Amino acid sequence: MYGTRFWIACAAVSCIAACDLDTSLAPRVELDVVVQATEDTFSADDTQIELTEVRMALETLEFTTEGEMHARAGLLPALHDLVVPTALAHPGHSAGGEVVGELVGRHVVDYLDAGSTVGLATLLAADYSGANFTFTTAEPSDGLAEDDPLIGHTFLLAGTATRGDVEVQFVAYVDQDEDRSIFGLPLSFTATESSTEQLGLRFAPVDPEGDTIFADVDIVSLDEDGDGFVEISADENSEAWANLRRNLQVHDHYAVEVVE
Amino acid sequence: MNGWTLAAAIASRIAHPPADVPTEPVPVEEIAASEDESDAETVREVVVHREADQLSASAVTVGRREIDTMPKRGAEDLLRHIPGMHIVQHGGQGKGYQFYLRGFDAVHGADIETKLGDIPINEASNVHAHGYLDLSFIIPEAVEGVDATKGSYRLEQGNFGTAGSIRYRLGVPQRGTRATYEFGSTLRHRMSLVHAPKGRGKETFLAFEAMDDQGYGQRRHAQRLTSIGQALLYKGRGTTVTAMGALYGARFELPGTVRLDDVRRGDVGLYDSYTDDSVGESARAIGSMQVKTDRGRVRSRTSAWVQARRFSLDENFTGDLLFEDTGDRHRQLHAAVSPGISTQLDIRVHPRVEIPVHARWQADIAEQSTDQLTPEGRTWDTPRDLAFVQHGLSLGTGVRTTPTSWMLLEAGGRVDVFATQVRDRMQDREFGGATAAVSPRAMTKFMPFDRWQIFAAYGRGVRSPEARAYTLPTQAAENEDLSQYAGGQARITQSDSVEVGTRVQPGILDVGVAGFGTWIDRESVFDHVSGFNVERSATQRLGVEGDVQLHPTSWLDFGADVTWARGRFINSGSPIPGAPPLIVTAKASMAHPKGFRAGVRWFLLGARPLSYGAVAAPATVMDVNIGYRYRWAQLDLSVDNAWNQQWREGEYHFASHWDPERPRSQLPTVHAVAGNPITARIALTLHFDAMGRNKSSGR
Repeated sequence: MYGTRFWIACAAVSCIAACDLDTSLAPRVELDVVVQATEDTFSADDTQIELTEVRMALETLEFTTEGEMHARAGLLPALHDLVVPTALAHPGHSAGGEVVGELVGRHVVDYLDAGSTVGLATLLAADYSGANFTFTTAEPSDGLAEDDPLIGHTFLLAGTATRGDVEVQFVAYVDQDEDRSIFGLPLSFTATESSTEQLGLRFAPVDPEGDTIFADVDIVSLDEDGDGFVEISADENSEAWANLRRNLQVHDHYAVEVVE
Repeated sequence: MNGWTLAAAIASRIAHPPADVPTEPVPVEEIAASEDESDAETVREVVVHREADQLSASAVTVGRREIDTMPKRGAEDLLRHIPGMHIVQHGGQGKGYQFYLRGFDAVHGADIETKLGDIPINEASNVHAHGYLDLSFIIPEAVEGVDATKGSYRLEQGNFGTAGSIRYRLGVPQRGTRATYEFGSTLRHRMSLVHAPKGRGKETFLAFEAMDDQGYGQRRHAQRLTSIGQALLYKGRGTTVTAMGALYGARFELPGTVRLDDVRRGDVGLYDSYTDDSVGESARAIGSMQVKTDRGRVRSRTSAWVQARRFSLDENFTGDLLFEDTGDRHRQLHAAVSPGISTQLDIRVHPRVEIPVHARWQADIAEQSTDQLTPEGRTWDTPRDLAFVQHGLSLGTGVRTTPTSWMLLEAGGRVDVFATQVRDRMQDREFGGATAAVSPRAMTKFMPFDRWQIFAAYGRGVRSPEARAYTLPTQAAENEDLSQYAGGQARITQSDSVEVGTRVQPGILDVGVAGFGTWIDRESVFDHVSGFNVERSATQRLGVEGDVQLHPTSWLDFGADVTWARGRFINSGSPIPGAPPLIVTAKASMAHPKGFRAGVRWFLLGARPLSYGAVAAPATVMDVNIGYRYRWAQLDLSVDNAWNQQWREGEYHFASHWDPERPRSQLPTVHAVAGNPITARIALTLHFDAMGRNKSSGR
């Protein structure tokens, strides 16, 4: 009967269409996240700084894409935007907003140990335009010794500050609020399933505009007893500590780079 | 009759159309005088198997026979018969469906204007989704037909008609009183009662429905009570006055989605749910009045209505991804009153020229809130608490002309103005604004021969901005969490659509082909899943739709259609996530005079692109309905998914975290909404007016 043949044909088409065709997940790649070399000697105003230790505890490094954010080009749109200001859904900072890659978990990053591996990130195949991470406070479970001074803190910075003939050793323990994050680190990278690059996490004590992490933190003058050693902590010198803490919240002091 | 015999019969019918089919053109005046609400443009074609507006190759009407003979669980299922349409229920029956049409992911109705008669059903700025469509209050037995126009070509297509427009027409052609009880394998109990008094027109009826369905799998229990009544109050002197009222209430569970990786590991079943307390409620009341006049040269149709609406959802799609301590469970509340009025004038200024005029105003006076809930259901945060009034005003006019007997042209334009006043109780601030858009529309049809039509159309569709879009910041704060930033301007989204097609109707065959394209320069959407206002880049949708229908007898119809749509973001070339590129449907419908009836629908849903290269599985499903009526008793058996395919009606790509033993990954992954497994329903209908009559008059 005609109808029978018709439905047999439908069944055949169904089998062809449906058999062994299951949902395929988004293609992804795993790439190492490594530490990029940090500029360990720099000038802060009239003080020469040499860093001997820079360690930071972070939680979950995310890589983001702009997705299909609207971008307009041309003279007329530009004129229009002059008159009618436009905000975009995921604006600014050369970054997108949709998380499609990540290095999950807690990590202690030693910024002076260039080339060391932070972890293995998983990235969906996509065009990446930004990165985020969240500060945390270090714990023994992060692989640290029980007496590691970073425990309980987000940052440990140590080094030498020199101004003229005066040299001061310093160590700074900086805590950031839980869940405080850095958003919108610029990143330009296209990940494919066959990508082999590494992603480098860099700490920049001097940002591209020349501002240092020690802006408004005069280490030498903090050595009031003249013993040549300064500890910067919330208990010892709260104003300098607060300034350093604030400076370390500025995203310009961090970068994520593609390492070929 | 074997297949070849039938084929010969079909060929014979093509060569020699039946004598009862008129072959002379029908003049505009005759059609205009008819009670049919389809427009009066039909000039030359006379064999109208495929109903609808006859002004585009793809417009379609789901007629009463399909409604009667095809399997259906509710009024939304009638939309499955529209070529190029795919609908997904990611809640229980009672939650609005998700709609896909011709490369559009219309979410819960944002791109599909839907009306009940002249009453807009899309809920502007609904807390769950802009343009939210809840059609569960419509009783299928009270629907005379569903008209679908794809694209935005008609002057009367208004807000949300960026992908197309749908109109449910109420009416009960089969007069009398009948009651139906339906029992289903999902412990479904449904009772309906339709009273359509004889001696009154099809527009007069009273329908009632009560339903309780456990649903398949977990957390799909749904209950609803609904009633719709309509009556012709006055008819005379070229004027008819009709009143309609509806009352509806529903409570339904919400299964949400399941992660595909969990399903593949066996941690959760496809038909399972992660939650055990997600639930929704929905209530609606409508009152409306329609006045139609026909003064010869001027015809008018004016409708006034008021709707009251209350809606709540308590759901969780992401586990504890966003809020580790409390979980992401949230409750959305929406209450609205929406009065409105519309009028349509058709002024004949010349035997071949009409001036159509459309005007509409509707206000949506609403309150809405979103509460974040603890797992125990206690509110711990209220991120949204709004009260707003939105006005939508439109005016459209143009010209409709038949300059020759083989050409029809409708062209014009409309202006849509949207004004919004919002009070954000969380910010304790008021916001507001108004925006307007002009939309040109043009359609033309050529009829080189009686049974051959060629169509071309262009139109611009509009979608209003959401009320809450006015409350969002327009500048990002320094070092703002970009994944949380909810910016973007409140703006009208406009779509430009073109369609070129042809339809050939030789005898019992009806064949149509249409090529279409839709472009959106920038799209302002509030993503209800993420809760962000997003302005998306330009998109285009290109595609082809073809259908073949065969009407070998007055009681038997066959049909098949194919829709291929290629939806892309223009800049990136990435596919529009979720929108099916390929939908193939075949169906057969029989309503034999001896009392047998049957309906079969098979469809193939092609592989659907998701974001970032993921691809949702294709699916194929067949639904069957058979029935027989003997005098006053009618028995129907429906089987959904007769091949018991384990298919996934919807697949989505987003991040969630449900298993505390697994890392909290922000990476999107595939989540699935299970399509129904094989289910069966048996329904007994008693036709009270036929009781005690002889056999022949009982049918």
